[in-house]
Amino acid sequence: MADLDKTTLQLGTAMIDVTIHTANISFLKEALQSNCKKIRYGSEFCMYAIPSMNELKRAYDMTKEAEKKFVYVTPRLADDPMDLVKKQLQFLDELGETTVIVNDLGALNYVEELSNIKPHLGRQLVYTPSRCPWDEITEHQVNFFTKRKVEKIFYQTALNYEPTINFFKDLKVVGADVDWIPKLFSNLRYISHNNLNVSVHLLSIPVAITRKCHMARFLGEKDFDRCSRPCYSKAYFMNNPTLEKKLYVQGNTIYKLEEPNPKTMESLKKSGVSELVLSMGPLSKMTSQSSLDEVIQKIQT
Amino acid sequence: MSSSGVYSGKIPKIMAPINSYEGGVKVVDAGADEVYCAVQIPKIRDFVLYRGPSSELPTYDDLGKVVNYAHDHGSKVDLVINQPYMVVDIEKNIRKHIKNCVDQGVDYLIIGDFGILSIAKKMNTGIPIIASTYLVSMNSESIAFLTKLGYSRAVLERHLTLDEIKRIVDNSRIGIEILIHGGGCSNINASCYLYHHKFAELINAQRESNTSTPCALPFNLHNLNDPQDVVPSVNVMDAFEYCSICHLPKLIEAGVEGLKIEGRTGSVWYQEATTKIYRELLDMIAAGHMDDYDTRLEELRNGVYFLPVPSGFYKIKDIWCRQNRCYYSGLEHAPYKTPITWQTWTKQHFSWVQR
Repeated sequence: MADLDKTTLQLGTAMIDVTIHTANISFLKEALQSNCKKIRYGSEFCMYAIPSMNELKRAYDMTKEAEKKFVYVTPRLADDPMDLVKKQLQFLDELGETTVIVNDLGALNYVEELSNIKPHLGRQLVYTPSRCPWDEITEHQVNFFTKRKVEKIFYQTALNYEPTINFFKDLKVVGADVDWIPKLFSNLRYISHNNLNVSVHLLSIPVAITRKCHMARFLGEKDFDRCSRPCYSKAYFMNNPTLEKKLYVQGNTIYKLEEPNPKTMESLKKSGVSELVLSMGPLSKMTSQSSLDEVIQKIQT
Repeated sequence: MSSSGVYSGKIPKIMAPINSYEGGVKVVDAGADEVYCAVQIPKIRDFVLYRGPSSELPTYDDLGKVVNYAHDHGSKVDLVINQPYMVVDIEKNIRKHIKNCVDQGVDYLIIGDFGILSIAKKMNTGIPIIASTYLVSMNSESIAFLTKLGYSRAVLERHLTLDEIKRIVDNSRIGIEILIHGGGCSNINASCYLYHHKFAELINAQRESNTSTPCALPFNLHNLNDPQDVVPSVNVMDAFEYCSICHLPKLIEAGVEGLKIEGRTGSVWYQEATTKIYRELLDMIAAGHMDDYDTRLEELRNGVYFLPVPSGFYKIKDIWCRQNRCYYSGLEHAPYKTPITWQTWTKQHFSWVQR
């Protein structure tokens, strides 16, 4: 362990890279000071928070200057933001081989034309029922055997089916993002065995995503195109006294949180996961270099 | 409008939801061009994600009867293959299910997963395939992608504006359908995992707040950075849409091919009444009777036809219009902050009065 840099985890024989995801320049500056090798930059869930072309160029230059690998993240898109993203993807393609996290089928279609872009499926293109916050996974009470049968289907992803994996591989897809849902881990090996890199997001699991941003509407934003991006500094815990579920809202996404523990780290070892993604922001409370290092150290120990 | 007074846009088809043979008969008689439905999949009935068995026809025989009735009356039947993902464990069930449905003579398959698409293609059924909202089509590029894959029509995601719909239609080589009526989701369909399961805790929470879906529930919001910043009882996720009656001319101008009414879990009464009203309005527009259309709109706004269950109390304009619950009307509004009248408030908080 001592010989490894801070952002590579050795779990048994498994080596897992730690990547930091950020959606704005001020967080990027913090992330670049950490000892990571790879940066993911861009908005994962919000089409209104796509960086401008200049911001993308700046983020790319800063990352390269810091001698780190740059991965671009794109959300789901309507036509206007798609126009911008197309230009950005062309720009990245001209710079050389770049991995792009794709959360939209249109973007996936477009990158097929770009020889240097390696698409990696974002979480919105990997349907995962166990993101559901309820533990009750059947409509009504069922017997033990039925529950086992349903659980087996429920704790898998849309990529636990070879024709689906092959479909995406034919589109040059190199990997896929999944969530920190320990009951999923045993099924992730199926994906990596089928030659897709699996990246798991630590902590926050997207339970519901909207275009009608819940937080912006609540905070009275009048025009999403001119959104002041309160999600970069604020997140809320959502408490309904009757509903014993802990949900959180940050921007246009409702999350549940899942903390790692030694037992789940153990099961991660066997999952075939090759990358662990740490997302910066108020919800994860990773907003500075020191908080990033603290989390990384916690995982390692 | 053309000089002859007939509306220049092509009148879209009405797609009506059903979950019973009786519903099939009623919506076809009410003027649905197509009905869409699902059938319970034997052996995996307990595996339910978004909608339970109440949204599906119970048997393949029921489907056959619906198909026969629809075909006899000039309507078509779209079969919803009701899974947003595919895994090995249910492959045989889905394959058999598709075969059984195809054998009943359905006209279209609605598919929202590429694994299921691969199964349907291998089966070589020859039946055209419609891209489900589970594929979250929000731009022209994704429609081009689905066209390349062989989809013959696509249903767009709800979270779009009228201008965006028009641009997609203009760029598309396949027919575009949109949802127009019913409880349009506050979140993006395939990215929402707040399943409406009927377990005690969720049912109690919904009963206490007089809401019917998890996304309508009120929450106390606690700012994670500031313990003093607590806002009580906010329906923070509530952004659903309900109605499109006033938008119909614009939707026709946009060139959409199909107008889809939501409500497979609704009552037969709702399915029939909603279909009938949209048929009536579209026919008025097609004939160029825009004055009649405007008069009828005003009547409807003062009426109660559009609720999922019959009710003698609510008026559309008191609830949906006042809260701007119009499909494709804008993305920024926060209906929970809109002041409502004391009469409406009373009705909402004393729902027992209705019963």
